[in-house]
Amino acid sequence: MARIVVLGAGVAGHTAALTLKRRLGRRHDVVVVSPNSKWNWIPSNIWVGVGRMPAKAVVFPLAPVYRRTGIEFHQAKAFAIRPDGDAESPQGAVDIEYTGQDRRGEIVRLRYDYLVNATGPALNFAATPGLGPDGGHTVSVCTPSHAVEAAEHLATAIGRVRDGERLRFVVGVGHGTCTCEGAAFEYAFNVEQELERAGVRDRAEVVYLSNEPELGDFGVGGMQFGTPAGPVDGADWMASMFRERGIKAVTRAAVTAVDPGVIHYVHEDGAPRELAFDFAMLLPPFRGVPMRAYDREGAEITAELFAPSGFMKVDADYTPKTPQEWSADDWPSTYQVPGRPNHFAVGIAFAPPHAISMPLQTPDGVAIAPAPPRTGMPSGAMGKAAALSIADMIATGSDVATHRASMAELPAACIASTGTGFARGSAVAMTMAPIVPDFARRPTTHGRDPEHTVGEVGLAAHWLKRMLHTAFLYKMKAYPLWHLIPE
Amino acid sequence: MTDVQAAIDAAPLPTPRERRRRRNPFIQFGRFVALGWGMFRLAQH
Repeated sequence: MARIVVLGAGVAGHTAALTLKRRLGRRHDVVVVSPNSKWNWIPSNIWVGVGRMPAKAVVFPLAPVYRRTGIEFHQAKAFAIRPDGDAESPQGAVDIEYTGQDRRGEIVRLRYDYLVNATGPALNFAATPGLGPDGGHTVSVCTPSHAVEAAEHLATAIGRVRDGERLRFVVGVGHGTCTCEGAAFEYAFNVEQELERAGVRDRAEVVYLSNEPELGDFGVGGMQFGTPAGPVDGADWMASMFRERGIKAVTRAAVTAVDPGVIHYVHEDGAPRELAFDFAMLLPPFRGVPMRAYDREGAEITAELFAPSGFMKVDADYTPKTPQEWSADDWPSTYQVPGRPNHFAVGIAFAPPHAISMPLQTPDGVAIAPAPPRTGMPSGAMGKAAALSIADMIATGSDVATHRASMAELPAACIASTGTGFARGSAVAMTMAPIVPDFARRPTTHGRDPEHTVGEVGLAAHWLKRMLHTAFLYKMKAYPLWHLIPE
Repeated sequence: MTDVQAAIDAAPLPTPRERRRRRNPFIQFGRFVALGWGMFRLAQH
C-alpha cells in the first residue's frame, strides 16, 4: 500500500487528490493537508467583491467531501519537508501544524511514499509598504473574507459619490512582479458596472493600474486574437473595451508604496509618480508558502528544493537566460522534482523557469515584470497529470512520470467578467493555445495556434462564466460523474 | 496618464451593430452553445 500526501487543496491539489483516489481506490492512502477548512472557487471572488454574490456561494467545506471519497484530511499547514526521511526512517516525511479540527497548534510528522506540493501562493502584501487590507490602505479580492471587506468599502465609496463627491477608484496590482492581472481587469470592469448601476458613473473615475507592458498582456505576453470581426491585436482589442467603458489605464507600473489615499509607483524610467485614490483594490504579489526542507541528518536543503521565491523546483530549465534566449522547452512537463521522482510540485507551487511577458526594470533595479499565471485550467491539468503519473508509477514500480502538462503545450480558456447579471452581464471569453507562446514553432502567429487563440465579448461569455461557477463547484464537490467535467 | 491612455482614447469603439449583437439574447444563446462546446473540446485537448 502506497501513501500519497497532497499539500494544498486548491484547484491543483484538490484535483490531484480526487484523481488519485478515483484511480487508486481503497488499495492506497491519499492524504490531503490544507490549512483551510473550505475550498474556494476564486474566479467568482470578484462578484463577492462587488456585493453581487454572497461569500458562501464561492466556498464549500472540504471535510465532508474527503470523508465521502475516502481521502484522509488534515486541516494543517506544512512547514517542513524531509524528502529523504529522518533518523528514524528513510521514508519521506512532512511536518505539519494543525490549524483546525480541534487540534490547533499540534505538530505531527506525516510519512509518505509520494508527495504532491500544491500549496498555492502566500499572499505577499508585505512586499509593498501600505498594501493590503491588514494594516494597509487597500482592499483585496484574493480570499472570500477579503472580497466581503472590499464590497463593504466599495458600497461606502459609492455612497459618498451618491452624496455628491467625485471619487477615483483604482483597481490593479500592488507590485511590479504581481500576477493574476486578469482578476484585477475583471474587478475594474465590475466596479465600473456598479457605478453605472448606482447612477453615479459621471462622478467617478475608474483607473486600471497594472505592471503589464501593455493592455491585454495578462502575464502571458499578450495575444493575437481571432474574433468574430477578424484577427486583432490583444492590446488594441482591450484598448477599445477600456474606451467603451470609460476606464483609464496606467500600465508598465510597479507600485512601490501605498499611503492613505496615495499610491506611489514607478515606470521603467524610475521617476517616482503618485496616483491619488479614494478606493483602491490592488492584488498582492505571490511567493511560495514558508516551508523548509531537511535531509536525513537534519541539515537544511531548502535551497536545493526551492527557488528563492519559495516555489519548488521541478523539471524546468532554470539556467539564467535573456528574454531573447527563452524557449518553450524551458517549461516543465512532468512537474517532478529533480533527483526525487516521487515528489511533484503543481499549480502555483512550482517555480516557473522565467516570465512569459517581457520584463522591464528601472535603473535602480525595480522589476516591472508580470509573473506567469498558473492558476485555474492549467493548475487543474497539472494536478491531474501528476496524479495520473503517480498512479502509473505505483502500478508499475517505475520512477518515470507518464503524463505531461507543459504550459508550452497546454491550451487555456479564460473568461474575464466585465459585468454581472443575467441580462446585463458581459464577459470576454478568451482561449489560447498554448499558454506559453512558442515563437520557434509558430513565428508568424505570436507563438500560438491562431485557430485556437480566439476571443469574444458578450452576454454569452457571462452566462458561460456563471455556468462554469456551478460546474466547477459540482466537480470539486466530487458529485456523481464529476470526473467527466474537464479541467 | 501615459501612452496607454492615448491608445485608449484613440481606440475604435464597437459599431452599433456589434453592440446589439453582444446583447441580443437569441444570438448570444447561440454563441453560448458554440463557446461552451469549443471550450469543452479545448479542455479535452
